[in-house]
Amino acid sequence: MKASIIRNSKTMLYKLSILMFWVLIWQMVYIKIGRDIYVPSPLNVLLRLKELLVLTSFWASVAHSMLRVAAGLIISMVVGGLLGILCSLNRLLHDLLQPMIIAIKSTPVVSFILVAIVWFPSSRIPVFICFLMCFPVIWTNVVSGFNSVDKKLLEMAQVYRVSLFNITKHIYLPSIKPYFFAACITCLGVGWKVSVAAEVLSHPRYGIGTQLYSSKVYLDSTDLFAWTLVIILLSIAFELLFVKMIELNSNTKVKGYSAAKGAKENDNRSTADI
Amino acid sequence: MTIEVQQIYKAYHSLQVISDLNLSLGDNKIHCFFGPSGCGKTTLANLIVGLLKADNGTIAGLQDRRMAYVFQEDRLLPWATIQENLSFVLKKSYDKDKLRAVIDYHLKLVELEAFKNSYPAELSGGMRQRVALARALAYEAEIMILDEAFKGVHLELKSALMDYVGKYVEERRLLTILITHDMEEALYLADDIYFFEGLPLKLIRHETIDIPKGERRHRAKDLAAYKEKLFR
Ligand SMILES: Nc1ncnc2c1ncn2[C@@H]1O[C@H](COP(=O)(O)OP(=O)(O)OP(=O)(O)O)[C@@H](O)[C@H]1O
Ligand SMILES: [Mg+2]
Repeated sequence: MKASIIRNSKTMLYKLSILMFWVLIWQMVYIKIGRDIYVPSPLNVLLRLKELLVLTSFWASVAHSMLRVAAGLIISMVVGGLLGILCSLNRLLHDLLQPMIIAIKSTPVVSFILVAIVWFPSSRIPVFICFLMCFPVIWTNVVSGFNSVDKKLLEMAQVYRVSLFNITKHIYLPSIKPYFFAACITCLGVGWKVSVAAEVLSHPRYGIGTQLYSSKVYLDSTDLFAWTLVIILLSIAFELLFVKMIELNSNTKVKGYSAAKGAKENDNRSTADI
Repeated sequence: MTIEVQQIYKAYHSLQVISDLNLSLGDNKIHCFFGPSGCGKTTLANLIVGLLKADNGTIAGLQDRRMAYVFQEDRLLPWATIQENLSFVLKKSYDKDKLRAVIDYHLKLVELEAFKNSYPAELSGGMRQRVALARALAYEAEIMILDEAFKGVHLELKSALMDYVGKYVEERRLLTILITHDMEEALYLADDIYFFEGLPLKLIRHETIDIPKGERRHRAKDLAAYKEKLFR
């Protein structure tokens, strides 16, 4: 017990010093350049963040962005998961959908944002964009999870005449699960980036992207950095929360079987990097 | 009901594994398939249970009979405990209380009752094989295929399990196919031994052992004589 606390605080210390190392580099770059408009100092960014924290508009922006990302992610998971399963069961449906998925994956996200600005009210655009970027990732992973199902287990179930319901529940779903979760984790990061990008271009009333945009308009780099920090922290928090949820869930049932086992990230898109 | 294998042909791509095979497997008996590795025994078993389709020929006498199969590999669900693995194939056949009793009984039989809640990855290869055997025995089948079902099981338990299987087959009167590389195992359990050669799979010899199974344990001499005769 005690040993584990010491070890924990040791790894914490270790991670903290790595963080400090990079902050130090940042500080040095700031000193070298010497102009806040190019690179603001870490301390100023932190102070700005502290100022922001007490503003109601800050919390309104964060809340709205969070809701949009969450909505986009949940719709992607549901639609991507269901369509992925349907397409795995039906060859024609799969072949019909695949070109569309490939097309979406290779289209630059800004093109979608600009089109969406014409189609939707500004507060819906980030949700739509998040869905558009995440749903293909989930779909692709569910389909490859389905293809990875061990044929020998299916044969075993066939000989013992197990019902299709139980085959689905005990063979298909557990095989897909790690692929699905890996896709979700990828999407948590991608979702934040593209949603904020969409907000920057569509300026909804409240939104982190809108705030980023006004920092840019006023050439307020300290503000820009502070908001970016907020995005990074939120994205990490989402991911941690999700991983914790999976762990809690699998401890009871899939112990000894890592949720990420066999999982692949099929997707190395560059569109998310705008 | 006899299983009649008639003029079966089977090829994997260009590899002809079975070519014009005829075989008649009587009911209530243990039929042993004996032959070198890679000669097509597992392929034949898979054709019989219907996992593979023959390119030509027919197999009669199956008519929807319940089958249990101990595969050459364990084929356990890696994400399910040993207990869940058994209930996966059994829960359709029993109600809840009976199911638990049946699972406990068969895990005890293969000396794995302590591993009920373990995952396959936590068991050794031989232990997993025993789970697969328990799964097959617990499933009330009419046809049972044992593809090297006793491999990796230590001598003492193996002989106990073989006794059990012999009695089990006799009591339930099911047709059993035993695939093995172990002559002692064949001589101890089989009613009929089929010697194969391959590829393509060819029946070169068929021997019936007519020493009653209950007596075989005590008639090592006669069995040895049999063995002598078989390998002459
Ligand atoms: N799925 C497959 N695809 C292609 N060739 C196969 C396949 N399965 C088996 N074979 C080939 O068919 C032949 C017979 O294989 P099979 O598994 O039936 O042999 P076996 O008699 O059971 O051998 P062993 O005693 O080693 O288990 C082998 O030469 C093998 O290479
Ligand atoms: Mg084999």
